[in-house]
Amino acid sequence: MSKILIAEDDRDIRELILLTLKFHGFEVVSAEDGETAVKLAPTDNFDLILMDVRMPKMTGYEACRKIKAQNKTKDIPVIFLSAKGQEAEIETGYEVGAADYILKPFAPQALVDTITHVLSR
Amino acid sequence: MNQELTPAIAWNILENLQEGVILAAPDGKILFTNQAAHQMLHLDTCPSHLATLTAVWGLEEGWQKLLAAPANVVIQTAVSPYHLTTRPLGSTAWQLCLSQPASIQTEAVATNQLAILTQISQESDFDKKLQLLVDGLQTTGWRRVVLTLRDGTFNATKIFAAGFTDEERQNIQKNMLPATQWRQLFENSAYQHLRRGSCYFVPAGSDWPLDMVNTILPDDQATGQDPDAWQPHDLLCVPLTNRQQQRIGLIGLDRPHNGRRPTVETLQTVELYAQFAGSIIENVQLLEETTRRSQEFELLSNVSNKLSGMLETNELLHAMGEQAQRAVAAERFMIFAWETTRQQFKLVARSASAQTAVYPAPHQLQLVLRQRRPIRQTLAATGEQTAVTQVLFPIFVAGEPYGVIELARPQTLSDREMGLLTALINQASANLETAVVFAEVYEREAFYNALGSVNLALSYTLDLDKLLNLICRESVQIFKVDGAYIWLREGTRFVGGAANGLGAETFIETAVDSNDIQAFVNVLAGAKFPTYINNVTQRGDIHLRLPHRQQIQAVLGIPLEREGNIIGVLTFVDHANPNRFSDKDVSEAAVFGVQAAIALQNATLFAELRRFNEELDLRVAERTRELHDESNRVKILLRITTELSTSLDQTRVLNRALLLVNEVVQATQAVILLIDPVDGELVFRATMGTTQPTPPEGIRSGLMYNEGLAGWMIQNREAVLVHNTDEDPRWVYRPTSSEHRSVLAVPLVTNDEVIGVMMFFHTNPHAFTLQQLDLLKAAAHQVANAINNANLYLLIREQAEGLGGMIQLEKIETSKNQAILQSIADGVLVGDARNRITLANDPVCRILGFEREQLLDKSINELLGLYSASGRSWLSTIDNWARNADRLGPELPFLSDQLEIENKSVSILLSPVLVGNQFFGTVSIFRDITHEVELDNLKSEFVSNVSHELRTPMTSIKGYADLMLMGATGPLEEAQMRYLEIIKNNAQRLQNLVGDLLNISHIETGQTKLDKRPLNLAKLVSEIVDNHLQGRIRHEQKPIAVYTDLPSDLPLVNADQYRVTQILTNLLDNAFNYTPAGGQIRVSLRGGEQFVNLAVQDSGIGITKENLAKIFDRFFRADDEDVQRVSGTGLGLAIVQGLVEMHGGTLAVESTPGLGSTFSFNLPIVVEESELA
Repeated sequence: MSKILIAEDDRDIRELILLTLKFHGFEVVSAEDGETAVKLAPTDNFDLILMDVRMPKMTGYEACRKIKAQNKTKDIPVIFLSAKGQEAEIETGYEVGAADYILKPFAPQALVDTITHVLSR
Repeated sequence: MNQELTPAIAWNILENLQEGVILAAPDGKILFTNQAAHQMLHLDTCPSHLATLTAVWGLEEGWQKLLAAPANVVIQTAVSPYHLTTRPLGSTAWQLCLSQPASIQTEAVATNQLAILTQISQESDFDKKLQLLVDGLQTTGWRRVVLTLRDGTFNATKIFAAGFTDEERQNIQKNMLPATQWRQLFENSAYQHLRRGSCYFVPAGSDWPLDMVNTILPDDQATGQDPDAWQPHDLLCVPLTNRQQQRIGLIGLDRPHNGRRPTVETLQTVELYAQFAGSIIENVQLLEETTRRSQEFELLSNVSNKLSGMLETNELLHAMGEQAQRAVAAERFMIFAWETTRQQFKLVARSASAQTAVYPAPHQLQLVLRQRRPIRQTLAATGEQTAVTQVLFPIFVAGEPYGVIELARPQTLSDREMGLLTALINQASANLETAVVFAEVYEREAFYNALGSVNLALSYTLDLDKLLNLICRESVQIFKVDGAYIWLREGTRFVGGAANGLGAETFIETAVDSNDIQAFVNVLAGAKFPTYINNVTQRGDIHLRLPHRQQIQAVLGIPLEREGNIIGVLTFVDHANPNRFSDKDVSEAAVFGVQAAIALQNATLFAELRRFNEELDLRVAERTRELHDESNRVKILLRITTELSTSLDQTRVLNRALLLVNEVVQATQAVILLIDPVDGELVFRATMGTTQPTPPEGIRSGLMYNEGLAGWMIQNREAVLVHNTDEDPRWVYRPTSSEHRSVLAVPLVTNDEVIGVMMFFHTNPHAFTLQQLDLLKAAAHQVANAINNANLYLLIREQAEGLGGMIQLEKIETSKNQAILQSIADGVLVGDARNRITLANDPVCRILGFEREQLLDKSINELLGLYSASGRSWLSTIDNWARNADRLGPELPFLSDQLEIENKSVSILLSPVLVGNQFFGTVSIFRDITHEVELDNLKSEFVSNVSHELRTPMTSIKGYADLMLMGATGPLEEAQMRYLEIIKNNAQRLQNLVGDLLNISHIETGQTKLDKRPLNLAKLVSEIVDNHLQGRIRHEQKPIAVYTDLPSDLPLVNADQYRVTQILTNLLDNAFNYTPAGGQIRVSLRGGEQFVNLAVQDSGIGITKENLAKIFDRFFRADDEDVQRVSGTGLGLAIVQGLVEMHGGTLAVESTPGLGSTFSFNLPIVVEESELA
């Protein structure tokens, strides 16, 4: 069973992702902001990190940069899940090392498909 | 059998055999005769030798013959014939057996019995049947017969008798033997020896007491019948049994004692009759039971039929009461329902006869419900009421106490009736459950339907005030409350936002401060979940702060929360019922509250977005107008410049000048006064708006060069703008100019000398603006120069005709360009026909950051190449202008672009300068628009934020709906699936709206960048039609014929494939949406010289003439039922138009209402590299 770390500040959406992933059999750990996500990332052998962009304390871009800069976590694929959908914003996401960029609102099935796809790489 | 056969038992068996048995020794001596043999032989003493018997029987062969071999003979005794069989018992004895041969039973007797039994079976009446049976039994050789029917305890219930007098018959009844005695006979082992098969034979003198026997059949002695003739009787009793072997009756028979036991045949006959009687009785009882049961069943079935169709609770309760009343013939019924919320009983149904009845005490009703058992009790007579039996039955619905039904009647109710009522009430309860469930489902469905439509309405309504009122109005309807009030949070206060109910107007704008901690609204804001207070009149500690506080009995509040913030509180009040609200309301209110909060937030965000858009529109319009004015000014100046410089006829120059300038200033009258160089008088040289044309020599004004307003200008060399001549002391009143109220005037200066004035007048005050003054100043230079030129021309022609032509032209050119440079605030760059820069004013140097010398004589190509990647296309355009100058105009073309130059944003407008059909070069106007661009960036950032804020809640709404649809929260009802789909679809619509808003905003702010490449349009269109349009037709099962005309030999177009797909998808969607099933859509491509045209033609509802002009407006949707039925944002065509224009194409529409519409657009053909060079 794959273990996924999610970072999402909106409580409702965080719970939605949690429910969706658990329903599909993933093990999930959640963080409320980028800073916590960076702290949690090396603690448990995560297979994947799902991250919002706009978060308090540290943005998703910044968090991803830090995760990719650390040896221990640099190989964990990061997927952004954000309502920020302008071309420049998506480009920034890939620049900081994202494996994929999913736009909100998202279909739960599409989210699971993307995660499965990234995990199978 | 583990009991050994002892000799005593063997003898006993022998003694009791019905066959006569004689044992004899081989010498003929009789050893033993049993009792039966005694009877059969009819001898006074038992013989001691067989010889005696053979003599009696008349057997001539003698006794030796009998013992010679086993024999079987018929012998005739004195009484009757017998079978005699002999056989040896070893060598010591012979056994002789006597028995009545079957054939001897006379045929007559058998025939008689058969006739009797047939007669009995044919008789239909029960009593007559049994009487016939009794009579028939008597004829089989019995003196008297009694048949009694017996109940479960064996007490006699009915008697049939034969062989009795009427008097005796009555006595039988009185002298019945107690049932206990009978059970002794049947069950006590002491009397088992009397048993013969199923019969009991009690001979006279038996150990079963005779007096008992006599009470079965009355003693003749006791009845006083001929005592001398009396003799002891033998009695035979046969219990009658049913199939379950229960004793249900008894047949008693007697006959005078004769010392013989009844024969097997006799017993069989009696048993046959007994069985017959038993089955007759059982059949009758079964019939009765069946009849009764079928009546009960019919009753219950009636109840079920009557009630099962009912879904209205009150109607059902009434029917239930009536059926119960009818079932037990009760005098009345009353039904009390238990109200959980009020903790009390309420009379919900009663018979008309129960109107004066006294209600049962509530504690009794509660007892019935608690014990779950009916109560049956007698009510003593009181006053007018007679004594009655009252029953109270509990009613349970789905295992929950529902109420109690009371029935009353004078007679007491049997257990059977109680059972029947229980069955009936259970049956009715089942129906009641259905009705209650139906009512709940109905109510729930109504609630969700209402919620669904409100949700729809809420998602449509983006106007905040409308939305608030809608929420209040719909709340009152959905929750059936007396009032709904919305508080909105404003800083630390809550302010009444909207209301529906008592005192709604007074509620609006009332405020509650956050330090009023007892205020209900603050309590709710703290609690963050819906809360209700029943019996609120008792709660002095709660400050409702609502109008008509005293009338409010119950209140329910719903905090409206978004992202953890309370944005408002919705309050429901009830004026009638102090226990109005329950937990059910809380859960429903929570659902409603979430919807309302989302709608409120969306409306707020939308209002901000709209306000911003409006502001933007305003700015764009303002800017457009400014540019338009600017462009007009430039054009006018250019025309003045070109027209005036081509003419040297002074009169014509002056009159043209007035007319041209007046195109911009719109004066009622205008004049040009020139100073007479001889006497200094001002002379009218050109006029406009006067009745008389001015003669070539002019009209003398009578004013000197230093008099009046004109004189002031000449003295001060300043232009003037007079808003009101009444208020200007410089204005000299003259009858000919008395109508003028506004004046716009400039001195005409040439070669540093004032030669006259140009004046424009208007009959209205404040008719002119400063901008017009600026234009006039610029024009004045041209006019002055033109006059000067004309004068010079005259002079030169006079002095050196033919010599000065070239100089003159040079001079005209120079002064013309100088004038333009001086008059324009924006940067101006003029290029000649070879694209070399010939003029650059100060502002353009400042904007571009070059010294004038650096610019002059440089090629515009070089300059453009520095800043603009699109410089090359500019050049080809300029080149095109130069080559096709005769085909341009009357509207001059122009190019516009925007450059980033050293942190500044600069807009450039480039136009060709034409004189007649001659291309002179270009004029470029540079304008610093850094500030505007900053504003645009701010807007773009705002749009990005708003779209993020709209998408985040939509993620939750859609996501949870998807999650539930996915089955993550368990299986869903059909209705739930449907509601979730509604939520999902509406969220999708909001998402589309946000997407469209972003698209249009990006197009308008120029953020949309095209990735233009050579594109095979036919191939792309074919793919989109096949995949998208045909896909929708299949998916939505709406038959529409699609025709395509896509020639494969068209040139490639220069376009962004993604955007073209967006454009075409949008147009095809519109065609599909507004074309009814069975219609057709035609997609065709046509090649042109510079463009390829794509047309989408449908046979849909079409567009009216007045709407055609508006369909490209943002948010415009036709006020037409057919249009409104299709959901949409009203942004699609605006986006399409924006995208088409970005490609340099045009979007056109033609439509006939009812027949269809055709939307077509152009895309430019790829220009070959070689053509550019």
